[in-house]
Amino acid sequence: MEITKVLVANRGEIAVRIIRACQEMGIPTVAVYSDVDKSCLHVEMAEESLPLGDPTPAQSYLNIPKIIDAAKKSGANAVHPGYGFLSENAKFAKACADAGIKFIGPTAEVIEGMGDKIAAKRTMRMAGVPVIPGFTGEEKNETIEEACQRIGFPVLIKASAGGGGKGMKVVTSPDGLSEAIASARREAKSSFGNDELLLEKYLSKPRHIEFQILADEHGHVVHLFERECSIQRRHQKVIEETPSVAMDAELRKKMGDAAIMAAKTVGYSNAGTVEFMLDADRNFYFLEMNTRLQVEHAITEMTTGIDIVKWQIKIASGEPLTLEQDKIIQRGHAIECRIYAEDPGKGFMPSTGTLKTVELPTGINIRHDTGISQGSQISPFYDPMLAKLIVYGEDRKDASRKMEWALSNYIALGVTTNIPFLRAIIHHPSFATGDIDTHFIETYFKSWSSAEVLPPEVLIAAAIDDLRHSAVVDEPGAEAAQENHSPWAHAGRWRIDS
Amino acid sequence: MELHYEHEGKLYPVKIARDGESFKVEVGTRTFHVEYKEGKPGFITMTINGRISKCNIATEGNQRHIFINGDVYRFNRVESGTRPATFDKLPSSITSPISGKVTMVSATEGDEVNAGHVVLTIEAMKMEYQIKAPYAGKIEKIHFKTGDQVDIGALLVVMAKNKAESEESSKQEE
Repeated sequence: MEITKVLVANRGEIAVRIIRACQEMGIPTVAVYSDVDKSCLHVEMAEESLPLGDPTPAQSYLNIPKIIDAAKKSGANAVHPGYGFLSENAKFAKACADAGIKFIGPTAEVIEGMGDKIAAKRTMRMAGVPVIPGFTGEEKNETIEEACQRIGFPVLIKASAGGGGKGMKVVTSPDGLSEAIASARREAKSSFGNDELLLEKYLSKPRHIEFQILADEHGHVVHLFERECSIQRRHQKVIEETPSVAMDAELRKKMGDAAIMAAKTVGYSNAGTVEFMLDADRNFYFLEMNTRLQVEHAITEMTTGIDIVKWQIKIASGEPLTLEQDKIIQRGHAIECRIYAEDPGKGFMPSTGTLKTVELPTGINIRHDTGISQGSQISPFYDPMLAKLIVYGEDRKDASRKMEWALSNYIALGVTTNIPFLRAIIHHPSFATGDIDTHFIETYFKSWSSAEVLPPEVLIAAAIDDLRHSAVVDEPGAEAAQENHSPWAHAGRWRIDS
Repeated sequence: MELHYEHEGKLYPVKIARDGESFKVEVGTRTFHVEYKEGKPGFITMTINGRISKCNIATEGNQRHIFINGDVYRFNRVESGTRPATFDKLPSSITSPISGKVTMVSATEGDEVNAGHVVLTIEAMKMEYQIKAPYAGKIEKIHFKTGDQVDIGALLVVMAKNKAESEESSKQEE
């Protein structure tokens, strides 16, 4: 089926990323937007755009009837869901199919099978892929509390329908168990509309290693190597890189084969990711399969030269995958930092406001994926990720240095961001040696805070700025008079070089 | 002229005067001679006692955002002679650190609670944030109920501190 127009059912940087890929392929796009996103970049870029109304996710980007309706109205014959929102919603995939619209992703059956984390683990265990010991809710005559005793503390509680850290809690002793279960159920309910929980053994010093998969609709599956996403806060990824220092050719082959086996077992098609935990003894366990494009797909694109989003569209239009496993080569090293509107010094509390000044680092092999720009309002309705900063270097050291430079030259004022925190991580000696695991931030940055005192330069700059701006009132002399006669005084804030 | 800035509860007085084309700035006991150049609006190059320093400024009412050497400082200009609110070490009220929806109220007015007791749970950006009692005391007033939308900075709870603990903590402060 030829894809002639794509509706992008998402917002922010990923909507922009998808629109760009479509434009390069000569396919017109349709953006959708909630009331607060009217002037966002993705709306500006798309050929057409349609409003979704109320900014609450349930009334906008999670609203299946509204989005299907927009696709029909605009004549789009395919929908790209991005990540988050409806990307892993089997009902949405089915609603698209029923309306005769191609869902760019796997089939509704596969999404449903993998979205149910319990069923997914059972499927993988049966296919011979190793799985972490845990509780799936299917154990006969066992409550979640009893399962904790059997598995042994610490345990990790997760939403069975979820992902992205929502509804996840670590419990270290029986004391906090009932409160944690109640809170996890509420988060699961509000994020996914399903309060079922599952439980698993909490591994010590585990690394998060995932494999990118591409599968066409004719049974051909390849992997595009691993990504290490061990630097996490609140179980959400912050920094990702590829390749992982924990891998060698043998382990990479073993895990890559397991990932392909996982994809083939479920009849997977389109882009997907198989997530594993790798413990200190290099045992790996299947964690879950993400049946969509990942936030961190860009680092794989940097090291393989393969455009994952374009392949998603080609695969959805029925084209066979022309990539062959032994011809796919990993080259150099790529790192991604997620720029969040949040305050790492205050428990990663999201921050809102207006971005007054944005000045980005640019240079060789620096990629910046974003949906915001100077003047953007950061609202409390959606995920606080503002942008992704991705760098590519000849090796890990080169890439780390480039990332440190890029972060040091990334100006975003008006909304508190995690940029200084990201710099501190990249600069940390354990990050430099690659001695990282998913507890890295908790271990080294638990009580991190940004600058506690104002250095003199900062006070000097503020004071001079304030003096100059009060100059007209204080001294109606030279400066004010001079500025009045200058044509620039009437030109507003134009920039000649832009 | 003398200016005052407040950051994390600390007050910073700065004295500043024009000195021909340059500026003379006093911070604490130190005096700096500064040349100042603004390129694009907000993009500043300063020469402070002979050393070059580049920074970027954004202003929002009394709030100042300054980017320098990869770090960002966010602080407030305050009127001379005022004491910033954050100087109160024992606030009697809890304000919301975030904009979001109240998903649970776990105390009632009149309750005696311990420090760390979760009073409210607020959900924002699909994550839960627990609002805890900063000290042991009595809950005098809760301004929101489950389902309410709260804005950042909104007054959530008014508390009265336990007398015994007040004395203890004022001892610690000495």
